[in-house]
Amino acid sequence: MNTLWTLARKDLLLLWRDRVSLFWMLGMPLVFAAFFGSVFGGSGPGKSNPLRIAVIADNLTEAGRNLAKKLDASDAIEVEEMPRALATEAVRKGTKLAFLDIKQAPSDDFGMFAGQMPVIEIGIDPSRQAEKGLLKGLLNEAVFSGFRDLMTDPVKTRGQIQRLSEQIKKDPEVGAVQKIALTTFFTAFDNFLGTPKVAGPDSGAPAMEPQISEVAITRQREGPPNAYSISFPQSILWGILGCSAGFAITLVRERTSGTLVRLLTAPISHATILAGKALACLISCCVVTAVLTSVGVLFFGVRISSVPLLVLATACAGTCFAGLTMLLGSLGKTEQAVSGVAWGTLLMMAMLGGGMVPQIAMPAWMLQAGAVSPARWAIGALEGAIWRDFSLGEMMLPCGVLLAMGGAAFAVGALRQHRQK
Amino acid sequence: MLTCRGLQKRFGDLLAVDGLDLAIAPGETFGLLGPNGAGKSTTIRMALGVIAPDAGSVEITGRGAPTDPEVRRCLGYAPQELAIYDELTPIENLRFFAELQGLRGARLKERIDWALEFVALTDRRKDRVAGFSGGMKRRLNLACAAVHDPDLLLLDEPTVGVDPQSRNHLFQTVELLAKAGKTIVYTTHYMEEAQRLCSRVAIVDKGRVLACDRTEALIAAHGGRSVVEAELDGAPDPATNALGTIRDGILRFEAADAGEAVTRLRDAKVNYRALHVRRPDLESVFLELTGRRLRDA
Repeated sequence: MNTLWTLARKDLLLLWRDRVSLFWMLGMPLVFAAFFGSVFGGSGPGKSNPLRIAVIADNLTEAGRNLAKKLDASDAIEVEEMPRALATEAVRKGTKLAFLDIKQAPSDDFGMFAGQMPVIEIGIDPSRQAEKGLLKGLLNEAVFSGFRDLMTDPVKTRGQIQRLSEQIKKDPEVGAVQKIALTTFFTAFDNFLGTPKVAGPDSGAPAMEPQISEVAITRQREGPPNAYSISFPQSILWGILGCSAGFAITLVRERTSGTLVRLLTAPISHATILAGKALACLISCCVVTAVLTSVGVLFFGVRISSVPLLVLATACAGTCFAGLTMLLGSLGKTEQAVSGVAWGTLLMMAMLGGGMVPQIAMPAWMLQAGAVSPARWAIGALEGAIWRDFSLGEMMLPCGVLLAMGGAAFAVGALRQHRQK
Repeated sequence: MLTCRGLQKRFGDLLAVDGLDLAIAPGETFGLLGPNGAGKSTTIRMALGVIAPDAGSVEITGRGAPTDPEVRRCLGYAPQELAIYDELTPIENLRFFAELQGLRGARLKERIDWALEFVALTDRRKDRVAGFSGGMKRRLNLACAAVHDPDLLLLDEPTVGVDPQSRNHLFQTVELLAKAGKTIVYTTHYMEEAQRLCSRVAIVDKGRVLACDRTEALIAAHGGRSVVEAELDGAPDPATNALGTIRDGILRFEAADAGEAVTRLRDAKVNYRALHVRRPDLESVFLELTGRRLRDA
């Protein structure tokens, strides 16, 4: 074991001092995860996309602008004032979901009783029914929010009612029948608000809002919580591929530089030398996974379903690619040849296995074809531990396949290396 | 210390080593000379147990075949290539190779310090090897072979591509190892190195030993006669012409030694200003045995 560790430590030290290899193992995968996570997710971790709408600025009244501000105060909506021509173009190009032309907004919280009903035109693609419904709901909430706020303060509300009653009595445009009806309603309402139970200090708010309470029930997720949960397993795979290619190249470098012959003159077997190399590769795969996962958790909102299963997935993926390293290192006689063959082979594996296109977005036939690629099983195992909520039993398949593939590749690679010796 | 009997190795159609026999005594510095492709490196690798012979055997006296890892513990090897890690420091290189040989603890530290001192790299022990000169790398290459204090050292062209100062330092280190009682097998193209360092030399070609003996005995047996050059004083007469060839006022002829040359010049009544006698050396033996034709093996 001492000898194995001596061999592995030397390779890890050489790797640590090789900045180019380090970039391929850590830097590039990190860039990959951040870039594709951002592209697929469209926003930072934990944020949702608000509805982006335009408010027509032409002839916008102060009351209309107040309504737009109420809308903008919501996290679910983002409002921007602009001329109608620009707003129409923005909706057509998809940079805005819709535009709102607020033709009339109530200047007063009780304005609707005086016939001041809001008049709003929505410009939206007819196919976007769901968003349209959501937008209308938010619009109604904004329109009636002032009225609701007013009703929670009986003293203020009674003042408003008396003022409005006076206005209605003087308004020549309001018909006599309507005046009687409204005055009767306001008087009854004022009396109601004036009763001690309602107007007293411990009266509480009138029931103008539904009382909504929450019960915590964890939803069974069917997809990843965010895009980084997909891009990080992919990036870990790329890190592992970088380790594999890097160590395959060092294998042939040992041959061409003469250090392999010197190692062979030590009192150790050729198999021990290869095992030392494989151990270094495995350790670097684990370190790469640990670093990338930590970055994902700390800065990109990636949540790990099961840490023990992630350790298992990492160990199996690392073992598999350490075995593949032995095979790749035997496929050429020069560093250039092995580098070309190794990266070519690993890129194909990544392509088939979901290293480039996420498995979740792959067609069924491609997933089936990818079964020959260790990359597919590595990502499957990593995703199983990170967001697919695999049980230990479910992990057995990808982990078993990885170990079998790695063992076979190590055996064939070691045999070829022994012959090349 | 090292015995090779009837060694044979073939790579495809090429017969690299063809029934080679060697017997190297303990404490001996043994030279293995031969042109490119003569089979020296293959012989060394079979002696190290790195490759198995097709026929014949290698034995480290009293220990067994070097294919046994435990037997290899007494071997040290400095390959022709600079088999060290450029991105490591001398200490890290030495520690790595010493640990592979099983050294640990105080003994490990002691041997690393010795090796650094031995090849005069103590001052640069913490610098990366990548920044070293060719001579410094060669010295470290040798130190890595000797760090575990082996009884038998196999040095494959250890002075290739180094400056005269480093070469001289390497000679001194090899001489110190020899003085310490180590058995050394030394392969080289440089005849003066073999002549200076080796007590016995084998000249190998086409996988066979052409001659193997003490240096002086090889020169006496295969070196031929000394070449005499006399700068003439005045015009040569017929007796002078009969001694040898004359060109640009210099008379050239062969003689057994300087005494015979002077006697013959005196008998022929030759007047000369200066006399040069070039004695045969190992290079003469080498060229005599392996031929003067260019090799592109």
